[in-house]
Amino acid sequence: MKKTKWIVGSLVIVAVVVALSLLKLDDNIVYFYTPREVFAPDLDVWGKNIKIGGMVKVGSVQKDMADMRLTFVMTDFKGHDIVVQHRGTPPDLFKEGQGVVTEGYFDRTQKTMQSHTLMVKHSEEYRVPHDTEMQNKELLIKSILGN
Amino acid sequence: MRAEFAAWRWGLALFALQLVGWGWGLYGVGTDVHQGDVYRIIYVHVPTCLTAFVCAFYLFLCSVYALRKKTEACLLWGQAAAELGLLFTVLGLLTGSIWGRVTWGVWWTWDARLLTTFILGVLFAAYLLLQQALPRGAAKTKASAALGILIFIDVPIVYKSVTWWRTLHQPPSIGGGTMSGEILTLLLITILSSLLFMTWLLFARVKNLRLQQRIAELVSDWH
Repeated sequence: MKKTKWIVGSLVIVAVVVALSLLKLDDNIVYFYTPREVFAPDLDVWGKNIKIGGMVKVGSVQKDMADMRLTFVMTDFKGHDIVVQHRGTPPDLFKEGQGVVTEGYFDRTQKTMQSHTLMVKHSEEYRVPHDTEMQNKELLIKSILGN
Repeated sequence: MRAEFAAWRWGLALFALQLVGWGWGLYGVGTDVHQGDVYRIIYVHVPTCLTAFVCAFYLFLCSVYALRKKTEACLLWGQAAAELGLLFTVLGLLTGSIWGRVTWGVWWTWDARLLTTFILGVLFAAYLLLQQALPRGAAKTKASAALGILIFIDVPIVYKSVTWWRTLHQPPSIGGGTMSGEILTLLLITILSSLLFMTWLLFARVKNLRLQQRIAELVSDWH
């Protein structure tokens, strides 16, 4: 009797762990899409509020200070470029070459994203100024576009 | 031994160690090339979150012990561990929120790391509610212990959430070779002192709860 309880208890725990790992493999839990995914025809994004994550293309940032308008190209470096139009102040860490997650409405034919929330995704790297081994970009790209 | 460790001087000494670490984090260690000075909140945020994980581990240990020995002596330890777990989880969420506002641009977002950490806080609160709700007896010991063990399952999920799912939160830095030596060293020191201070709080709280229980017993004997 005593042993049965322990066995049942352990089985419940194992079942929960297995269930959660299966959940992990489920693609439904997607915090943001990659640029490649939103261009796939089978994904229905029209008129939906979605998040897309990618890198800010160097040389693409345009700011209209008077109107608080920000336009830049978000890329996955594999030819999937999206023009992001955002209104508002970007986060402090926003810059060219930085990782971003933007939330809003994507128009596949125009390849544009009307963004209402702009978030910066930085890497897990912390370096003091005289430390030269920087690999920030690769880490970020892996973290955003890796899976 | 227990009573001695719960003494004030130990708590003060350990908190002083924590303050020295934070002071070094503010004025001693170099700034970060990517984030600038705002990164220094890492010396509060990361130790706080890891300490919440260890609270869950303490809760797990005393729950297993309570089930094996069929004793309710561990209930007070469980309560103290869950209280501290809730406190450090909330502090971790708050410091993370402040950091996120500056670097990410938002106070909060429902990504997997934030969601699973939030769930950890809710579970600690649920444990405390359960203990309060049940009358003393074997059922209380068993039910509390079962929940105390289940809560610990969330800890590896919180930790791995940033690698299992796409999140706004960055992947773990410790052990990844992505930190300068001096940043990593100080981070490990602040984590250690945070864990020691929490352990002192745990002993002090259990001493306190025992006294409270004793007083309640004396009062009920009187009537």
